[in-house]
Amino acid sequence: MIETWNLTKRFGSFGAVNGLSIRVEPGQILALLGPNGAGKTTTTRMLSAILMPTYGKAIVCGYNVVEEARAVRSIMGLLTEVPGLYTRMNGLDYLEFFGRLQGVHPKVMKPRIEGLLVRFGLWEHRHRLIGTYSKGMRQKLALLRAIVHDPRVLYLDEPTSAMDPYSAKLVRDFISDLRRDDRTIVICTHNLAEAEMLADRIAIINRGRIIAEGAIDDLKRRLLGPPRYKLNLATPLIGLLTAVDGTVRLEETGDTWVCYSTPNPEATNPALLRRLVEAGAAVESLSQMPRSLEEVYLSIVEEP
Amino acid sequence: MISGLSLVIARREVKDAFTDSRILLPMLILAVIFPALVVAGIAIGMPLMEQVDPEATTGKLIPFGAMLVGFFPISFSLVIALESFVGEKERNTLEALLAMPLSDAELFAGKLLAVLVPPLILSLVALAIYTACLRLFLGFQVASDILVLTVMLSSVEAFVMVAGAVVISSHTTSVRAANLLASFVVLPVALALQGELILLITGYGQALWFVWAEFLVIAIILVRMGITVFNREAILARENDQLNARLVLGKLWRFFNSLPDAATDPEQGKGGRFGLRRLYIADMPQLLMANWQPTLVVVCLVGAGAVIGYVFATQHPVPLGLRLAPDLARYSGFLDSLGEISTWSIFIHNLRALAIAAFLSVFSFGAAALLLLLMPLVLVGFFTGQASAMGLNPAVFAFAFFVPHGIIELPVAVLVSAFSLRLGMSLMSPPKGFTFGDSLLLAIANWVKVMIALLPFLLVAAFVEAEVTPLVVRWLLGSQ
Repeated sequence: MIETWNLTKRFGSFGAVNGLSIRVEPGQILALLGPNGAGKTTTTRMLSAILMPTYGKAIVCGYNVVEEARAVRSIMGLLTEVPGLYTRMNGLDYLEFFGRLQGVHPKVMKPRIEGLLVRFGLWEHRHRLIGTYSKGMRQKLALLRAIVHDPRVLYLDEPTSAMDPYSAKLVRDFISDLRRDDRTIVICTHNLAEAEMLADRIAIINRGRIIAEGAIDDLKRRLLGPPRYKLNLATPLIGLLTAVDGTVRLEETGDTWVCYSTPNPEATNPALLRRLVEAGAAVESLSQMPRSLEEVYLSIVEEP
Repeated sequence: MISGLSLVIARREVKDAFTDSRILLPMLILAVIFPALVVAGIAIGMPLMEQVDPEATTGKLIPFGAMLVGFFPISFSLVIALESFVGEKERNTLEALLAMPLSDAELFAGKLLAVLVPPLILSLVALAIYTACLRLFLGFQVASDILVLTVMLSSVEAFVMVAGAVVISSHTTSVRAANLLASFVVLPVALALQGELILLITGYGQALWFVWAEFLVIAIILVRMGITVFNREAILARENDQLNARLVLGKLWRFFNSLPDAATDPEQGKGGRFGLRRLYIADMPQLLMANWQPTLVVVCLVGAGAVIGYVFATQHPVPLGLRLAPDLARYSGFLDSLGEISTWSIFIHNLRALAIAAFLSVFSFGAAALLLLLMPLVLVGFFTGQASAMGLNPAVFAFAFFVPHGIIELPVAVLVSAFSLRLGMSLMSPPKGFTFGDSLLLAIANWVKVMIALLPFLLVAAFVEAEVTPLVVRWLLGSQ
């Protein structure tokens, strides 16, 4: 579990992170979103015990990031924003090097590395110099570096950047599996669709402060208003509006359709349909209008 | 300090260096071809040198060549060392390493070891090739003591260069900047090498052991400094090497205005307001309390200096023919001249000496401050000893010549020197959260405060020295 209280990092007079308080439970994925320079990387660096907070406190799996920095580093894995690999090493040696630094026992390390390389399609490339790897392969190897010691906490900065769709899905599935193993995961990403797919909770950071935080549906409801629905009829709407109006808040109407929003769809929608049927309307479809995380993001993060 | 994890890092980097043709080829050339060239040079120079000195080949040329051959591969250590941290930062590989569960000291030790091993191996290889070529082609053998000395000197010089370069590498933001700063390592070592060669050629080869000891001390200082100031956070957080004079002066001003006990954060605090009253009742007590250790060191040194001077004088008295007569009244001209030096000139001289000592202290880890205070005290002891040898009462002599003004001047000099020593040490042990620059600025601010506080006493001491001491000398010794 990760918990922070008023976590603050200043570089001189510049406040990179200002009073960040978050809590991420085991088995939960938190996506940190925000524009470039918002403080996402600084936050993960503080949680990785690489940067020391100027003020505030952070506890990772029971360890204080300042007082028990070494313990924190041994139980977490960090995928950095730029893969940053030793290009004149081969993939296998590279993972063994970091495994040794993480104190993984050789007997455990060999099969674990083999399993990871096989799963990510790098096994046949294990003796090739990293310098000859494609961007996607490098990104995968960097991810393997972060998890070679089977960490309880993972910080992933843009985990699928530079990956083809197949590899990206492979990585997303892997991250989902890690969540099932009760890992605590923080993802920093600009890929909002991916965040929506993976994350249980979202924290949007801007200028070092959290400006919105919560489950994705909660955020949508809070920031974009109640969910919107589109009702399509087989017949013209004329004469039926009175049945609709008053029950829900009408937003747009057409000849045979109507868009509305309602804060309580579980109760409102069945009642509405009943009234329409009673009024003789032929209902073709009723569907929730999709609202993306991008809309949420753009509604609160101003243009840089 | 060196743990298994340090060795893991070192092993990887050594392997990396030995598989990089850009590094390996020049190193091999220096280690293999250069010794052969030196032997060829000796073969050419031998007949010429032996015309002047029949023993020149074994006594000078061969040791000279050994020194060169041992040193040159080591010079290459700089290339690897300079990029040990900053190169990794430029290639974005450093963050992953910093995220490993290693202590700063383990990481630093691993890097240090990694950059030290390849040049040392190559230096040994070069020396082996040199001795083999000498034996094979010229029939000469390098004396074992010269070989041992060369290996020891090369090793310790490599240590100094590597430790200095790693410190530079961990405190710069680009390889280019690190290369530029490398001249601070290269120039002193190159000068030292020239000095060593001169010692060797002039027949003072044994003195090179003192040079070795000196390099060893510097190496230890640099390693300690490197470990103390190595900070993974600073490496990652530092983004540029921009020198902003306004910021630097602003920080210096803030440190100057801060009470010493409050100057704990280089980035925070408004600094308070400096005033003379506060200087004497708050700043000075805090500064003296916080700096009792350097003050104690200087006090001990002052005492030791006077004793050394006195003992030296008793062991090496001035020959009878050169001695002054005990009756100082015969030297009325000399006594008159004592009163001709003005208060102002003494004051300026003392002020300048203390300022120069402080300035040089920054570049000598504080040694200059100690040496420049030690020398006059050795002289005081020496002259008192000579006075004793002449039959004068040493206590009366010292009381007459030194005590009237020394009772004020000496404590002032001791305190200022203690803060000069702190100034020199500031680069070796910055306070927690302080960079090299912050630490130096804080030490400068404190030194200036101490200087301001003690200036009136320095002036009074100068007045006493100019106006009172000559009278006391005349009064006490004029009739002896």
